[in-house]
Amino acid sequence: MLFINGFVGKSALFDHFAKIAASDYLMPLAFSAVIFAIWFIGRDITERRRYQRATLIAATAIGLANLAVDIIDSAYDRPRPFDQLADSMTLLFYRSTDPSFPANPMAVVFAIAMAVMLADRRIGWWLMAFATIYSVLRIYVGSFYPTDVIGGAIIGILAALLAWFLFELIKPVPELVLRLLRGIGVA
Amino acid sequence: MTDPIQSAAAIMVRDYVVLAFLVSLGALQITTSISEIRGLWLLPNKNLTRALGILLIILGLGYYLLSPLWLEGPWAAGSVVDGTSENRACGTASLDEISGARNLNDIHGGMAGTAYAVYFIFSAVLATIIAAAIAGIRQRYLGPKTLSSSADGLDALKQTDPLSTLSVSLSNLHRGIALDIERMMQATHRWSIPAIFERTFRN
Repeated sequence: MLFINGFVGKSALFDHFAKIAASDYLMPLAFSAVIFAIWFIGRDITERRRYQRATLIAATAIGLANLAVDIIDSAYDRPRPFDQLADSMTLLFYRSTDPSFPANPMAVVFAIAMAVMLADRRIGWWLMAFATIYSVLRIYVGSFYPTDVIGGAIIGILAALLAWFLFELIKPVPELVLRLLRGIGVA
Repeated sequence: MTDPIQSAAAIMVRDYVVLAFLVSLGALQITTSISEIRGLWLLPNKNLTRALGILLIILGLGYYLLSPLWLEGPWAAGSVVDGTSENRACGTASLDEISGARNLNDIHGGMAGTAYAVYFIFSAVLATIIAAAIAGIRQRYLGPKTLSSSADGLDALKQTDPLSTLSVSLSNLHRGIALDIERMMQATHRWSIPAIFERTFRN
């Protein structure tokens, strides 16, 4: 963690970039925009159905990932790196007050990336790459330890797989939801 | 006197909704131009729609990131120290502190994760409704005559306006839902919960 955060101050331009790219709004918004946009992708109804299913799985996975993070947070309150290593690191971000492990933003972005990967590997790998960059930047700005973001990523990926399994388990309910949405012209 | 944290929170919510709305509308224009869903285009031409989509996203991000330079908020010049959010004063930001201006903890007037999700959903739904309304008006009164379509859902929106799509889709739903459910049940796994229920109650 200190190795990655040790680069802070070497380039003012990169530090400005990190503050924006590691923020709460940019990457989560971009990931949300992707799952919203893929709802409308697809040449025919079969292809579109696959993407729309991915949007529903991603939304469910976000809920499951947040639930898992909340449960772990209530059992284990790991202090943030800026609380433990204040003298040896530089903080570029605000002082979050929730537990450090697991990283909630990482759980969310990896849940979305995995859910999309189940429908489209190419877009999924792109999202995985951006989720990884986001994770590294969150360590860089001093918000998380590497183990926090790894924990968050694992929770996100598992949440997406669990959401996919739940969708299989309650089949054809998701298809019925999509059919009803098609009935009002939005799917 | 207004609570500074509450005013900061109101500014953050307002600006995030503007950002999420413009980004959603932009993403919608790009994807619908790719999949040729004309019923949600703001402009009559495919390439123009895509260009507008990109422009809307840039506009949204530009507004959100640069507006602290001219709009007053919890980012007054000199108070955005190292991107942290304690002891912020209200005012306009300096160019040097702009990158950290929006990084605000939820206890200091920023937004919590769930708030971001809720406002994004709200903005995305609003963007879709507005795109459908504008496209509907454009197709009905300004653009070329829309073709009649027997398809429903987004497939119908490729050929006709949102209002006609809604009417055809509802009618198809009413007529075909029972058959659709039967087909879906036949295509499902033996171990899916609805299939187990169906077998249990049938026997």
